Amino acid sequence: MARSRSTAPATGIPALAGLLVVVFCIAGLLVYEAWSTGRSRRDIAERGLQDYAAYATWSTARIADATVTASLATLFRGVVGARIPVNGPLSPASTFEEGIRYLATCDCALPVPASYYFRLDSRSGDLTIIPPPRTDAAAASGFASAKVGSFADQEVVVAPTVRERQDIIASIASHALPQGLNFTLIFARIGDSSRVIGVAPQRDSSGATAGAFGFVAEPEVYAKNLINQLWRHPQILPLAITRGLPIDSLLTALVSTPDGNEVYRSSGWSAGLRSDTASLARAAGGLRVRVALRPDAVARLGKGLIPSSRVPVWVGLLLLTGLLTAIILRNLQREHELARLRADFTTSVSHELRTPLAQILLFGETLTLGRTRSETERVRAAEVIVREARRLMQLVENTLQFSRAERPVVGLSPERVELAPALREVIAGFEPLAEAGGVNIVADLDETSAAIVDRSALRQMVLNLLDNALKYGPREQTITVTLSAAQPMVVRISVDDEGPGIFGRSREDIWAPFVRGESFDSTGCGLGLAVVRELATRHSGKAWVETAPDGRGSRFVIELPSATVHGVVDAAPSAVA
Amino acid sequence: MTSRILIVEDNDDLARGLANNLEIEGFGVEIAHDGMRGLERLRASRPDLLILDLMLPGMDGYRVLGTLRDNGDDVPVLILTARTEENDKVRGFREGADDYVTKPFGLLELIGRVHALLRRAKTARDRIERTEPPFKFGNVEVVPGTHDVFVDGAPVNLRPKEYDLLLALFRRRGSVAGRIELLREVWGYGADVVSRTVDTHIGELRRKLEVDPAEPQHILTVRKSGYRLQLD
Repeated sequence: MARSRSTAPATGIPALAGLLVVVFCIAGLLVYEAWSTGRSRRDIAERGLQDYAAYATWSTARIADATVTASLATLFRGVVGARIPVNGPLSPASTFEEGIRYLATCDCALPVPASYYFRLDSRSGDLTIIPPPRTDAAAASGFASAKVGSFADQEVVVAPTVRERQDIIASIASHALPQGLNFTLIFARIGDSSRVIGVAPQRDSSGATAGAFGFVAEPEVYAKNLINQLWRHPQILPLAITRGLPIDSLLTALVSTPDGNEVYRSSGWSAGLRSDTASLARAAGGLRVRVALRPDAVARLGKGLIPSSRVPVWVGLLLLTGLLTAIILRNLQREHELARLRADFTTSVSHELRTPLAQILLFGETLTLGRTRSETERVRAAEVIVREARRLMQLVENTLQFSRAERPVVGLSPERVELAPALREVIAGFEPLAEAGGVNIVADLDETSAAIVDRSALRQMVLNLLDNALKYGPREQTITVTLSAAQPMVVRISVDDEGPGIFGRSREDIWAPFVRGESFDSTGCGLGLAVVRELATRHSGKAWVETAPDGRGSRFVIELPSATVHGVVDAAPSAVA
Repeated sequence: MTSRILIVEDNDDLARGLANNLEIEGFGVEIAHDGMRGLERLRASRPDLLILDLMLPGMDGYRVLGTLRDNGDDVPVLILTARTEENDKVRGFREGADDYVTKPFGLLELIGRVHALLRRAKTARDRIERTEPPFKFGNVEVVPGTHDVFVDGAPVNLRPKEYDLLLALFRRRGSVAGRIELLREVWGYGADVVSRTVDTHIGELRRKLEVDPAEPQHILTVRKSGYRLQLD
């Protein structure tokens, strides 16, 4: 009998599922919106921080220009602008020393960390070395103690070698200053080291360079002092931005010569920071300063500028929504499937009841109304009535058993049962149905096997397996019932059919309630096998399906505890529940 | 004329039980156990009524019904099924069913419905016949509305079976009709006839209608097949 599955009532489920998907999509949109907004605000904040770095670089360069210029102007104030007569002597070294001492004590400009000072007479090539003021000498001459500290590591003066002297003279000669510029810084190699030379040429009344005054210092020390001085300047960054924080805790700098040789990097410098570069004026030697926001400053300055990201919260919400949606959809699907199976079951049971009832009524009325034409027809009608009544009884028992399984209040009464006679009785009762289906039943029964089992349950299990074999196997097939002692404590009943077999997941699925073989044109309401497994389990046994021994058809197997082992039932409360 | 009924039902016991009861009523009954065979028997036997189960192996009852209606077959169809849902019934009627009976059913009610369906079908057929225009072949004129037959304008007295036989041949529009086919159609399955009955009646028709019954020009024998009516 072909069966078309009825459609389960699923009103509202697609709508609910659709609603959940919509909720999930809205949550996804919100997350995207939050992420997008956060990203754009972060971009703005990034640009703001980059602007801070650019501003700090610009202000550092400009203030550095002023600082260096003021420092050099103070240092060279006695010698700059003093025109000497043509071929006249240069200003005396004492004049320059006065400027040196003034710079060291005035607290008005950046002190010079000179290794030594010099006075160069370009005409004669004489280079006079002037040592920096010593700490004790400075103290004795009234130098401010704070300033003396600036020279602390410059106390020991190593007189320049001849080669260094030549290098100094050559460097000064090669750096002609343009008109209007009275002093500058020169970066050059002096001997084997890089040095910064501060130099102020002295011209005669004809405008020709007669000589120069200056100093030689280590570039790193000079740059370090310069940067440290700058970081104390209040206008490097506006107070509104620094909020009173020390500049050196916010900025870091890299100083290099105009040709790109690094001379100094302050602490906290690393690649990849938000930075900008600016060059100092010619008077300050054209130094290049690269200023960056320190990594920890980004967090400080960015506070309020970079919004705290809520994306993790939104993503968490999205995941939660997705999870809930998935769970609800899964439950809906299960509910839908169950509803479909139940609806299918109702249709199946309806059909299973109506078909035998139709035959019983037809042949009953035929007999009652005397509408048979021969004795053979009368007997045939009576046989059909009996057979179909038995089929109905089995269906009713299965349905009731299933109902009990869902509410296990009705107990079984296991007892010792000699299985061979019991199975023969069941098979005999099934013969009319088998004959109607043109099926032959063969029994191979171990006469010694006995089991602890409820008699009616045993009958129902075997009848269901026989009925299943009949429904899903071909006409004229042979159904083989085998009883054997599988293990010392277990007896095994198997029913083999010659149907198409069951493979893959179907082998487990068919034991679920309401599930019927999809590939067969067969009757059934999907309860028979579920009842078999339920009853087997309640007897501490089990039921499964495998391929029949000759590879053709299926073998359904029930294993039950053998009656030779005492106390099995008592030990298994579920068997008597 | 005995009405013939085809039962398409896969439950053999039910089909036979029903067939026995219908035969007692005087109907000729044939059984098919699946949809495909049902359609084959329908084409070959041209029954007066079809009793059709819906849940059939292979081709289900709806498809059988749809196919025969698509082919222009207007045989009355009574659906006999365990499907009791309203939508099943509605679908059945939409597909072209004339009646719908659910299992289990009362035997006498079913027989009553069968009679009613056949009566309605006959009434409709008669109405069509009455409005059917006269047709001619050779010097013979047949008026279906009045069952009158004229040869060269003079009325000829045909017996009912002879008239039915003539009409059965005419409705095939020149195609061959087998003896068994004619036997079932004109006399019905249950009729106590032998195959010579057709031949005898053909002989009678020739004698009454042909100019030279020994050399018939219209009611022709097709060797080993049956008979056909040559209209001109």
